[in-house]
Order: sequence, then structure tokens, then C-alpha cells
Amino acid sequence: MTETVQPVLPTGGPTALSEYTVRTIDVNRTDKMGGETVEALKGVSVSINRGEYISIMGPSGSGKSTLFNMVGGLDKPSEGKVYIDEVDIAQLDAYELAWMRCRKIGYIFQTFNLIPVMTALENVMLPMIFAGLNTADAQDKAFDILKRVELGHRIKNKPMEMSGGQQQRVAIARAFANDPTIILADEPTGNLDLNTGKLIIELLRGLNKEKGVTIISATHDHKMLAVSDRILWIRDGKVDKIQRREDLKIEEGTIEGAHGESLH
Amino acid sequence: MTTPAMNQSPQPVQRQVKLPLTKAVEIAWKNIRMRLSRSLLVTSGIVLALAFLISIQTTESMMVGMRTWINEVPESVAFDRLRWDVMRLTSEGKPLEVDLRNLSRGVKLKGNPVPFDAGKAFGSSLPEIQKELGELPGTPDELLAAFATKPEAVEKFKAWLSNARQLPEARDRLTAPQRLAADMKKNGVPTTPEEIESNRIQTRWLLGLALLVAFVGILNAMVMSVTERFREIGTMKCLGALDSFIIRLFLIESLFQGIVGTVLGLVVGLGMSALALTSTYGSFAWRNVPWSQLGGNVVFCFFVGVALTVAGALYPAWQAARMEPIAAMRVEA
Repeated sequence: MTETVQPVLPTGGPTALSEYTVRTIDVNRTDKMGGETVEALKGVSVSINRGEYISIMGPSGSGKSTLFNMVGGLDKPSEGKVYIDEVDIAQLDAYELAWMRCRKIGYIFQTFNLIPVMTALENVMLPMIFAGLNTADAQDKAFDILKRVELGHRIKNKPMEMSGGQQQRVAIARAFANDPTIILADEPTGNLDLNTGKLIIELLRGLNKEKGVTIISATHDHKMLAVSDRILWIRDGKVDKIQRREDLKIEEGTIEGAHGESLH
Repeated sequence: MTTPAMNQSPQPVQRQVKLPLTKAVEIAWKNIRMRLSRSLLVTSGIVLALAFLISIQTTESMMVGMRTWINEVPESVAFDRLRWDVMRLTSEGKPLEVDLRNLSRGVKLKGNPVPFDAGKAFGSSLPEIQKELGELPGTPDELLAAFATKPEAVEKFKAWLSNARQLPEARDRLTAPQRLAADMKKNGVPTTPEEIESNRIQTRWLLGLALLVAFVGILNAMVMSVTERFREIGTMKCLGALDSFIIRLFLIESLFQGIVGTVLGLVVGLGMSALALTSTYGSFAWRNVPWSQLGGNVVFCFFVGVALTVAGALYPAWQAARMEPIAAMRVEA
């Protein structure tokens, strides 16, 4: 339980704290589907900066989800390396992966994914319990985080008794429970109306600044793209282009893609 | 509240700790309470199967007890026989002379026949005799020894034996085994050893089938509850749950359901078989209840019920544990 695995540093990589939270090097991913080999990713190399707010974009089937899952430690590459906090995730066993998901990564889902049988407070406490925190400390900490997302008054409510926006805020509080390095947000505004989505984005952006956590999101929401530091475009399993926010042309809620086509 | 992650050096990766069992118990308990209808579905299958199992076992055991009772006249009947003799002799107008040897058929007495006097027979009752002689009925030997030391007790004993109100009751009690045997025959209860054996084999088959059906039902309900909760399981894994924790969660949940379902089933089954036997055989059903055997049946059925439920949850639990955390990302419900 106390044994540790030293971070596996990439060959020739830096020995000090890297400025990258996630790096992928020539990542390939092939899947067998019905006897046919499908290449989901073809040599993707991206580096995500510490504290960055990055959005991954791409049409469905582009490999976007595969890459997203990989940088979140949910999937492993067929070839190439994925480093999360300079640790090669392919080297980790099930216990280490679970530890990593628990401590280093916070997940936010399109469908909120709160545990329906638990109250808001218990939902936020769950990752802390998994991290081995005792109940009293977890309660205090969870309450603090819920207050931060302005749900201090709803800690006793079950997900079913809350609105979508409130549920997503609980989910965000849960993602931040163990002070992760990375927040992985999968279409966090996908199931929310315009205004609620805006509030969620502001909250995420605020927490990103406040805690210096890296936020990686897969999204189609233009409001989300607008606050991103960078946008990573994936097409046909490759990195199509990487845009900085300064370079974005945002006009009346539409964003022009690399090839001039609208992304709706 | 927290230090910004930006300034931290990467923390070496550690191994996820195993949670204490109480946490899994806590979460499993919440799951059952919240998903009561689903739990009841699983539980109802166990209740039915166990009610069936225990009622068949109970009926079988009670039948054995009743057959034994028919064949072995209990000690207390010896007194009834004496009383019956008293009644018969009195009605025939014969002088009452009852042989104390009748106290126990087949047991040889050392003493001489004791004459009974019908004229002085009324007025006394059992408690007084008991007060005089100590516990009644003792063995005939003890009784005779007591009479030898306290001759005045003989009179009271005779009075008790020939208490007019109790004489017809004594006759009923004496004929009870024959009446019960007739009842059982009328109901088609197997009586010969061959019949009993073939009946037992039939029931075993029936029981096996019932338990198999219950097992498949439990398995089905558990598999459904796993498929229903794929996203929840995936989410828990994203939050750092180990496979062993997920397995524990489902096994503990099934353990709870197994215990509740089995206990309910036992109560229902015992109640139903008691009711059925009482309505058919009246108080005969309760004459010679093999309590220790019934207790054994209850313990056996409890373990069968719980084991069946947990066994039914093994595969679904393993299935849930193998679920990838990516399952949490799936959008379709």
C-alpha cells in the first residue's frame, strides 16, 4: 500500500518538474471491429501544458474520443506513449491506475453521472473515501468544495432532487475532491440549457485559474471553446491543427474551422 | 483550501488502497434502500423458493413425527388406559378391580394388583395426587414404590383415575392414534417404507427444480441490475474504485437480499405449512413435533437461501468488476 513507483521519465526528458501535465508521443490506436482493423489514431503527438484549459474538437469518428480517453488514463495506446504527469500509463498496473484516477484526474461527464443513491455531500465524499480519507475529514472537505460551487444549501439532496445545472456542479465538486492535476470534462454542457451551460463554463474556468488545474474537455459548445486557452482539432485520427484563443474568430456563436467549414 | 497543482512536483504514483469492508457495506445498503423495487424483485424470488423448500421440509418432518406418535403410545396414555378400564367396568356394573400393570403396557411390574373401589372414586383430582406423590406420571415402578410408603395416596390416586369428567377424554386420547392413522390414509399420505422412499425422491426432484428456477431468476435480476448500472459502475471506477470493491459491493448487496429474502421465505413457508397441517389434522399435527429436526431444517434452509443468492450474484459481480471506466462516458441510457 505504501510502495511507490517512481515517475517513469521519458528518455532524454527533463528531470525536473515538466511543464506538461499530459504528453502523447506518436500514439497509434488500432481496434478490431468485425474482423476489420480500424485505425482510430495515427501518430498523435500532443503536449498539454500545466494549468492549461484545452478543448479537443473533431467530428464523430475522428478519433477525438479515443484521444480524450487516452489523455484521461481511461484507455491505453496500441503504440506510442502517453505520459500523465510524466508517468507512462502503459507501465501502470490496475492498482496504480486506480490510484491515478482517484488522485490525479477528476472526471466530469455529459450525463453528470452522480451516484443516484447518494446525497450531494456523499457523492463528493466518495472519491475522498476511495483515497483513504476518514469520514469526518471527507465530510468537512466535501462541504467546503460544495460551498465553493454554491451548493452549500443542497448537500443533503439526492441527484434526482436537483436541476441539471446543480447536478453538474455537484459533479464538478466531486471531480475536484482530491485536488487533481487534471480535470477531464466530456461535453460538460451537452445536457444543459444555454444559461446553465454558461454558468458551468464560468465555474470551470474560475476553478482552472484558482487551482491551477489543467482542464481538458471534449466539446462542441462554442461558449466552451471561447474560454479555452487552446483548441486541438482532430481529423481522421490525426492532429489537424492547434489554435490559440487569440487566433480564434468567434462570430455570433460560430467558429470557423480550419477548412472554412462551419462546425455545426 | 488547496495548493495550486501548478507548483507541485509530480507525486510518485502509488497503489490504490483497499477500502475497509464497512464502506462497501454502507454503500450496498444505500443501494438496496434506494432501489427497493428492484431489490424486492430479487428478494421475492428467494422468498418463494425458500417458502417452498421449508414448507416441504416442515411437512415431511411433521409427518414423520405424527407417524412416530401413532406407533409409539406415549407414557401418559397408560393412565388413560387405566381410566378407560375404570369406565368400562363401571358401565358393566362389575366390581372395580384394575391392574396397575396397565400403567405401562409391556413393562413388567414387581408389585401385586391394586384393588380399586368405585364407590369412593370421585372428588379428587390430579394436582392433589401429584402433591401427594411428587411428579406424575413417573415410571410404574416409582409409582408403586410411592404407594408402598404412602398407602393413603392410593385412595386419592384411585379417585383421580375415575374422575367422571375425565373418563370420556381418556377414551378420546386412547383412540387418537387410530383416528390419526385413518386421517392420514384418507389424505393419501404414504405410510409404507417403500411409499415413503419413492415420495421422498419425488419431492427432492421438485425441490431441485424449484431452487434451479429461483437461482436463474436471481441471476437474471442481478445481471439486469449490473447492466442497468453500467454508468454508475464506470463512474465509480473513474473515481478510483478497485475491481475488488465493485465485487464486494455486489456480493454484499446480494448477501443482504439473500438474508432478508430467506428469512421472509422461512417465515412464510413455516406459517403456511403449519396452517395447512393444522387445518388437515387439527391438534394431531402438534402432538409430536420434532422440534430439533425443524430447527435443523431452518438452519439448513437459511444457508441454502443465502448461498443461492450470493452464488447468483457471483457472475454479475465479476461482470461489473470487469467493466471499463470508459463505460461512464457512454451517453445512451
